[in-house]
Amino acid sequence: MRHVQTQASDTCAHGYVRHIFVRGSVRRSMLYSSYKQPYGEVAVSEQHSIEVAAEWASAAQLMAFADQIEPSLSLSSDQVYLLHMVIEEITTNIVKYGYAGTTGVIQLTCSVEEQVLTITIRDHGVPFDPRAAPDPDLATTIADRPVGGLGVFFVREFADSVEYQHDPETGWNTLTVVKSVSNPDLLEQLRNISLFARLSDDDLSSIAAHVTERRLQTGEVLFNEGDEGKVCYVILAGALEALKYLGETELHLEVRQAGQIMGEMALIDRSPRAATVRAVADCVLAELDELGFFALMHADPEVALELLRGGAARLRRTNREMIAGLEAKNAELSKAYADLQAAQNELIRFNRIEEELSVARRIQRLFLPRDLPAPLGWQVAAFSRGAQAVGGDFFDYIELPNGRIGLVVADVAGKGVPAALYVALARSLLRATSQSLVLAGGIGGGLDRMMLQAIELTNTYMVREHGESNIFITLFYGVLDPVTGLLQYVNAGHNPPMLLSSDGSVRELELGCLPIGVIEEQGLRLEQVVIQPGEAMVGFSDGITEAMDATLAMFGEDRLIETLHEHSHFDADSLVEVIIRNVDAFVDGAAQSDDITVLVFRRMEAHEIVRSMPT
Amino acid sequence: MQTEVVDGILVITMPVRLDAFGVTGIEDDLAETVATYAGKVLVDMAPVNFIASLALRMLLTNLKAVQQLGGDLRLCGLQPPIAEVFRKSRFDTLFKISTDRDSALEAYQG
Repeated sequence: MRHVQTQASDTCAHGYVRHIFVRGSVRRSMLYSSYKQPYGEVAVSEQHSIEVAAEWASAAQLMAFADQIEPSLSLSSDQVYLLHMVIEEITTNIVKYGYAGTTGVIQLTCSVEEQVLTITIRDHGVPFDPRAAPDPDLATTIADRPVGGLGVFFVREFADSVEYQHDPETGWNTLTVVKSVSNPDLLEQLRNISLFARLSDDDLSSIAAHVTERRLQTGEVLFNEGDEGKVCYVILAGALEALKYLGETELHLEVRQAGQIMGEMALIDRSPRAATVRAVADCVLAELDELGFFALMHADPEVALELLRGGAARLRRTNREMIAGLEAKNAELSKAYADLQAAQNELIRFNRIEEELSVARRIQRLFLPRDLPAPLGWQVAAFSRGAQAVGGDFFDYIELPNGRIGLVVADVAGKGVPAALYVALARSLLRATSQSLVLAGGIGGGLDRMMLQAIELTNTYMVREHGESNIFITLFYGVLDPVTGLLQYVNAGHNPPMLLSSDGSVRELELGCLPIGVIEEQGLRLEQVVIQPGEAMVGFSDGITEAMDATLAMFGEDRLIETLHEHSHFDADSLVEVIIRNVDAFVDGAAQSDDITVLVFRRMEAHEIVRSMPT
Repeated sequence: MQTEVVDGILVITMPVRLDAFGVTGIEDDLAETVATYAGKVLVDMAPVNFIASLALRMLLTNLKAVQQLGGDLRLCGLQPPIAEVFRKSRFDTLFKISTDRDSALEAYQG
């Protein structure tokens, strides 16, 4: 009975050697179960042994063993072929001649280290050195040829080396056959490539020593840009693409197909890889080292020329593509430049508008009286702030004959530039009509008449000339006699000014008529009030009472009245200041939505006048 | 801006805020609607809680336009602060103003 002995020394510290010794017949399942590969990427050298009885069936047993171990040994096709040949030919020899009918064993050990297969066959039969066997005469015809000797010859031919040892003391014969991964297939494939087609067999086989096979899967990177390049590749099957990275962008330079060479530039000019190369299909490559490459170049000037042609064509193509690329870039840049210029023109235009607006604002400021010369016993203060560069509010202070003073607070519907244009118009009209009537002696009917006429003329002009625009102006126009404190006024749709008494009470002046510019016969009404010592008239625009905070709540009339009430003893300047301060505090940073204007005219009390007189 | 015709009167309901933004939003629409209708128009101001001078101008423009076409434009439902603006600007003398829609419609029929 045969017995099985499995000896697995596969757990040595670094897992490099795995030794399985199988005695007798083989139970496949057992063998396979010990062939787990727990070593991950570690280079494993494997060794498998079997001992069988030397008999006619030995070859079949050993063949089965070979079939089982081959997958774990990762043998190349020619190594497999040699292993089968060794088993077939040598075993047959041992059984037939070595033991020659006597009993004995045959031990077979296969090991692979760094892709080199070592086959060891031991027997205890009659010593026979296969190396010593003469080559068969291949020249003779089949009929003349002696039988036998061929097997050993083939083994010698296929193997890299064949060693034989006979130990006279123990009687063991040991035959060691070594086969590395050479690749006649690869050479055969190379020969099919036009680049190599013209090479002689000698040249090709001398190059073959420098060729190894590489396989790449689609998407796998062969080498990266900047890598050191000491080998080049001939594509036997599949395709490679060269690409460059510009930041995140992949630039696809070119794709090379089977039969073409890749990576030769680095060998020619000994520079790092100029591009990254990646498989765009599953590839079989013949990797050619430097010596192999130069051997190839030397072997056939045509090959060198062919490579040069390829290089030159590639250079031309690259140039062409680069020029096209540059042209495209240039077009892009031109467009970007044009866009930039347009944007800059827009900016310049915008800046010019800004500039013009700021000029307009300065001009509009000039419309406001530069100083407010208070008559004796009076204080005058005013404030105006537009919501935009230019605004629709204005106030005016017109000096009239006999020490009278014209006071104007007005608000053009809307704001910004359109409103500002009407401010200019309305102010000029009012001034012009007032002054001309005075100069024309219109005084005859008294200043009150003059006022009414001035406003009426302004209104008529606005309605007739600008009625289409439906622009209207709310206007408070008063004429003050500083001596008596008599204020005669017309209110054309404006918020009635407030009269603040020294005791803190506040009252509104009378309502008037429709704003200027609405209808011709608007029915102007002249009102009058006497401002007593200690009283102040506060004119304002709706920008004050309708100033809004972030929640759109309005400052309102009540807050204005309260502010006045609490500061009835303030002089005109301080009064204006506190109103604006309270409004700003209420708004609390919200964008100003409308123009704000305040005009305060205060009649001093006797003791204040004395104090204010120059000594 | 909502519009409906009640007993031959075009009733237009104003939005809550008639500030510059609110006016810009309805100005063209309102002008076209009023001019197309060219008859009795009632602007219901009930929802309005703020009115800017631009809105007064818008109403004035439409009043003039529709009157030239033989129609009229009246207002109703002014909230107290809005009524105050109309009073102070004396725009209350330009428009016929009713307290609410019903009384406005009734007055219009007469």
